[in-house]
This record gives sequence, structure tokens and C-alpha cells, in this order.
Amino acid sequence: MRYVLGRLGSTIPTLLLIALASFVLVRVIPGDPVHVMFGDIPNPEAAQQMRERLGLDKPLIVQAQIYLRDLIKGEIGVSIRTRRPVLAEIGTVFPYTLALAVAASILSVLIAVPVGVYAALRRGRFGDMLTMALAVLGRAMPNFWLGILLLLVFSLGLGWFPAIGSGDWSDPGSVLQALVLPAIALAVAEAAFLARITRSGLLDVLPEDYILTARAKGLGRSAVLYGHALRNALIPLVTVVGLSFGRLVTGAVVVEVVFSRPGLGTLLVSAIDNRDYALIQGAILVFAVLLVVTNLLTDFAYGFIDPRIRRG
Amino acid sequence: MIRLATQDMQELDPAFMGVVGSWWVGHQIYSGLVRSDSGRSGPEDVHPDLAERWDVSDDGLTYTFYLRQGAQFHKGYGEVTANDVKFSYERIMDPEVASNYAGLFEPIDEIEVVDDYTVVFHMKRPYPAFLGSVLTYRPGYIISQKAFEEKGQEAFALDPIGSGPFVFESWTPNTEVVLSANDDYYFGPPAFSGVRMRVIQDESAVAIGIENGEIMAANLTTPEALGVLENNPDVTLHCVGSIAARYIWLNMKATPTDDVRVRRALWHATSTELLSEGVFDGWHQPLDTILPPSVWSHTDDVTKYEYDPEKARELLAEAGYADGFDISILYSQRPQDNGIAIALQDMWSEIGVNVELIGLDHPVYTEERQQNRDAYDIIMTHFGRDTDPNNFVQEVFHTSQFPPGSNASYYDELDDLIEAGASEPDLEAREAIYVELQKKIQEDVPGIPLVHTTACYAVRNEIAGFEPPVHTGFAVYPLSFKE
Repeated sequence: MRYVLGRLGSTIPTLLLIALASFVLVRVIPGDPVHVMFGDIPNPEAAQQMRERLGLDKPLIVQAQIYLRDLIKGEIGVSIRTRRPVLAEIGTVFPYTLALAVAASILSVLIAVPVGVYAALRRGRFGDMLTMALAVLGRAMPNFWLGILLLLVFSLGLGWFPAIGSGDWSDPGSVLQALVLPAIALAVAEAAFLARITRSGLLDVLPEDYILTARAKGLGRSAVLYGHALRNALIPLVTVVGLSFGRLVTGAVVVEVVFSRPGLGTLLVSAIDNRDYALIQGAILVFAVLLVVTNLLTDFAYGFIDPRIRRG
Repeated sequence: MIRLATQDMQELDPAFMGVVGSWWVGHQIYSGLVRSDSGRSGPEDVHPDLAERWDVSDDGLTYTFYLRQGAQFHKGYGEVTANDVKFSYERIMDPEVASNYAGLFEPIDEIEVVDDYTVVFHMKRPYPAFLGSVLTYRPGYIISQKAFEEKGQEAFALDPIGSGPFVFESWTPNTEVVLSANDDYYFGPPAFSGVRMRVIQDESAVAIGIENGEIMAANLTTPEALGVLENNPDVTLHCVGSIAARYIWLNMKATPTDDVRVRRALWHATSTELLSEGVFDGWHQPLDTILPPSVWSHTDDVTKYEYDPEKARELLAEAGYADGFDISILYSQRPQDNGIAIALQDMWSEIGVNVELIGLDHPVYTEERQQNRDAYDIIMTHFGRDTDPNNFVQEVFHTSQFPPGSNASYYDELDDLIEAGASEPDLEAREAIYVELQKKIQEDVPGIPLVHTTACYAVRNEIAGFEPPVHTGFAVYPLSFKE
């Protein structure tokens, strides 16, 4: 318990530092949100009024103080462009990104474990070499490129899936349908990586004495594999899946834009285009919280599976 | 439900709407005293909307509008009356409000409400562009005074109440805008139960959406997207010369472009044919006059500068730059502007002009253009107003618009003609003024027109009734599903 609390406590300064860094970074990018809002019809008085209303006329250090003070109170500001609270803006699109990342995460494990086991059992043979070569290819393929490829074949060519958007929540079937291609685009590279981890994890375990013992007891091949070998081989996979979930959330940024899906990614890209400072900071903070939380959960899960870590 | 693709909106307060996405939504939910379906602003293009008819006094100083009775605001906000008209326009004129559009209403002296259905505008001076290019334009929308006062400015901007054919329902930023049919619309209910406007940033994605039917109509500008749909039997491309074009503006107050021979030389060294073909696959047309042909009073009877590098070299030598010079171009780092800049660099290298390319991310470019204009020799813009020439020449060539305004050339010899054209009530005399003005610009070369933007709309064949307007965004109301 003390371990859990200690880990939780150490995340707060991390998040505050990230918040401050993002505050500085967005203001270092040249470009002015007020100019973006008014387009090519400049009206100096209107621009000045807007700047005052948004508090952008204050010195940077004062703005930073206000930002951090509000943050500690749990307020992360109001979007410059939409005038709505940043949390509400993120809240409307976050479920789409979460759904995409979870789907891609599940999909990558579902692909990786059987492929990894298959390769390990055929170590050094043609099947192993072929699957591992494919894994290298999958890992090397950029997700946006794969996304465009999937769009062209399955959406435009065969018409099986929509090319745009995320379906309609009132029709859950359409949401799932719209999730398939982006989830595959996002999952392939992770699956390739996880398959290699599974393979090497299993290869490490297979020569162990307890596997030999299990065999000697007369257990069947699949009982040894699933009951003894795989259980132990998957421990490293848990950590990696946890870390890869963070990668999937950030990777969604690009995939969402390719599939014109709403989500944190498209939100962040347009916030940057519009120099919507509050929204950029908010989105970065949410990414940071997600990464920190998945890392924490991974640590806890690891400790749960392997008690030596908790004690050590 | 009709499904369209658009850019994202911002706010919908007619006093501030500043981006294409907002204009497009505004077009469906608001109505004005008069309207122009084609987007043109000539006298024959202006039709009755909330005003059934109107009179203009002979001296051009008094406009009387007679409102139709029974036109209703959305969501139960009551009938549209002369008071709403007065309220909507006085708000834009109010210096406290600081509207982007205040300048367009400056010639109005007073707005007088005679009764619920009669409103009179008293002008300080004749203002012939008033009907066509102010009242049919974005600030001409009438809002509900009651709704505005009840909600306040900020809330109204995101939950607007107009009296147009569609009612604003919801906006999910970066995702979509949803409108529903206004069944009480005074011209009759629309053919669609609503409009779903999907926000899609990439035009190639829009093209794919149109191909597989997820999107039914959209405005497209990139040759890549247009090329995808060109031969699709289910889709019709409606293309029309728009009111916008790409230009470069030359600094007339700094060397070497303060010399008219240098400016003319640069024009002679520019092949607009090549820009049209090379950068736009011929979708957008070469332009050889500053005002595009879609603008009223446009004339071709002006000095022209055909592509002739030899002549350009002679002019440069005459001006004392036989060995050329270095020059910088500021432009927005968008793919097509980038292509133009690189092509110019290549073409001008032939006459010894060495171009430094300064392409910046759009928001940074805008800021630099307005705040730091003198740091660059040449500014590239994509610019257009309406088909009445007044707004264009006022914004681009009047001395009151020196940077941070749009007069990036520091052109200072046109104020008299601009002001004369703005207030000449007689149509023929007014046309003569603009012809003279065009001849003068073409002699002085404050800038070089490059490519005339073609407005293309891809519309799936199940949609009937589409007529392409000259500016971005079309009215959904005249459309229907084919039987």
C-alpha cells in the first residue's frame, strides 16, 4: 500500500512540470491565436479587446502563474476558439480515442500471441523466418501509410467500411464498423513488436527445468505450453502491452487525421493550427496523464504477477 | 438529411464570423433583407428575402425596405420585425462592439424604424455597393434581438437564432455541425430533414467520402481531389471562375520594386500559363488582369504583360539592374502556394533575379504579413471579395489600408478613384470610374495577378438543383433529392 501511495505521489510533480513545459512551448511557437480567429480581416481594436478578454495581454510570467494556480484548483481553462471549457472539449472526443486505442491494443495482442507462439515453436524453420520477417515489415510500416492503403482497398475499392468519421453512437454497429480500419492501421506495428516479445519470451522459458519436469510428468504438449510455458513467458508481455497502450494513444493522433475521425489527435492538430493555447495545453496534459497512469498500472500489474518486484 | 463536407466553423455571430466554415453555416441558418443566390452582387442579382420590396431614392441617400409579414425566427423567438433589422446593423456599427465589418456600414447615417414592417436607411453619401455587397454579404444577416439579449453575445455566437431555411442544432468541434429543417420557413420547408456538415481537413479524404457516398456535396480546390472525381460517373463537378485569385504584391516604397520598370519586368518574367498547368493541373486559370473577370465592370482593354523574358531583361537593364538583384517572397506554407513560389523562383532566375523563399505556417504568415510587412519585398496572398469591385479595391489599394491592412504594396495613387466609385449612384458613370481605375492599376503594377481560383463543387448525382455560386459555400435550400 505504501508502495502504491509513494508511486502516486511522485506523479504529481511530473505532471506539473509537463504542464509548465507545455505552457512555455505553445507560447514559443510563433503565431497569434487572435490573428487566426479574425482571418484576413484585421481590426486592431477588436483584436486588442479579444486579447484582453483572453488574458493574453498580461506578461507571460503572470499568465503562467494564473495557469498553474487554476490547474491546482482543477481548472484547465477555456478553449480560445470555442469558448467552451477545455475539459468539456476533450470529454466529447476522448471516448473516440479511447475506443480506438483499446481496440487496437486488444487487436495487437490477439494477433501477436498466436503469431509469437507459432514462431517460437518453429524456431529456425521457414515458418519462423517468414513470420519474423513479416513482423519486421509490420513494425517498419508507418501507420498513416497503412491507413491510406486500407482506405483505398477496403473502403473505396470494396466498400466494406466507411472512409470518414466514427459512426453514430445511436447505432453501435456503425461505431464498430468505423473502428475496424483505424484499429488495424494502429495495431499492426504494435502487434509486430509484441509478437517478437512473445516469441523471445517463450524461447527463454522453454529450456527451463520446470518445463522439462512438466513434460516428464507426462503432461500433454498443449498443457505444457499453455499451463506452464506461456504463463511465465507472458510476464514481460504485460509490461510491454502497458507501455504500448501509451504509444497507441499518441499514435492515434496520426491515424485519426487519416480517417477523419474525431478524437484527441484531430483535436490537438486543429488546436495547434488555431494556436488555441488552452486547448493545446489541455490535450498535452491529458496525454501525459494517460501515459503516467498506464505506466503506474503496468508497474502495479507487474508487481501483482511477480511478487518479487513488490518486495524488492 | 443531406451530408456535406466543410471546414470547421468558429463563432456564428454575424458581426464577427471570420472563417469559411462559419460563413457556410451562416448561409443556411440566417436570412437578410435581400439575398443573392449566385453570390454575385450586381443589380440584377439581388432578390427579395426578408424584404419583399424596397425603394431607393433618386439621390441614392435613402433606402426604404418593406418586410414580409409572418417571417419567424427559429425556436419560437417570434416574428422578424424592423426592430430586429435596426438592432442587427446598429450592433455592427457600434464602435464598442468592434465588429470586423464595421467599415462596410460606415456610410449609414441613421436607421429609422417606421413601423414593424418598414425600415429606412439614411445614408451620409450615396453608397451603390450597399445592396449587392453589404446586405447580401455576411454582415447582412438579421439576428433576433430578443434571443441575443436573452443569451448574451458569447452564448448567442454558439447557439444562434436566425430565420433561414435551417435551424442550428449542434456543433461538435473538429467533427460536425448539425442543422435541422425549418418547417416554418417563409419560402416553404426545405427538401431535407436536415444538414449534416462533416468537418474534414484533408480534401483527398473528402474526395473519397464523395466517391463512396458518405458525402453528397463539397467545395474542392486541390487538383489532386478534383482529379480523383473527374471521371466518376456518379459525381458531377460544377466549376465556375470564382472571385478569388492568387497575387503577389510588390513594395512600391522600397528598392528595387519602387521602380515601375522593375515591376513590369517581373510581370513579363512570369508565365501564368505555366503556373496554371504546373501547379494546378489547369484547374485554376491564368490571370492577366488584377480584377478577375467575375467582378462587375471588369475590362480586358488594359495594358498587358505577356510572358517575355527578353523584354523583362531589357526593362531591368533600363532600370539599372542588368545583373539582376536579390528579392524575398513571403507566402503561406500551403502546398499550392509553395508550388507557385518555387515556380516563380525558377522563372525569375532566367532574368537574373535571385528569389529568397520565405514560406511560413499560415498563422505565422498572417501575423508577419500584418505586423512585419517591411521585412519582406514581396507578399503572396490568396484574395477575393465580392463581385462588386468596391470592397476589393478599398481593402487592397486604399491608403487607409496600409499594413497591417491589406494594401501590402503601399499603393497611394488610387484613393480618389476608389472613393468616387464607392459613392457614384449612376450605374454607367460608376462603371466608367472602375474601368479607368483598372487601366491605372495595370499601368502602375502594384502587384502581379497569377492564377484565378476556380470554385469547384463536387455533387453526387442523386442531388438535384445545384447551381455553383462564385464564392465558397452554397445554399442548401434550393437542392433536393432526385426523384
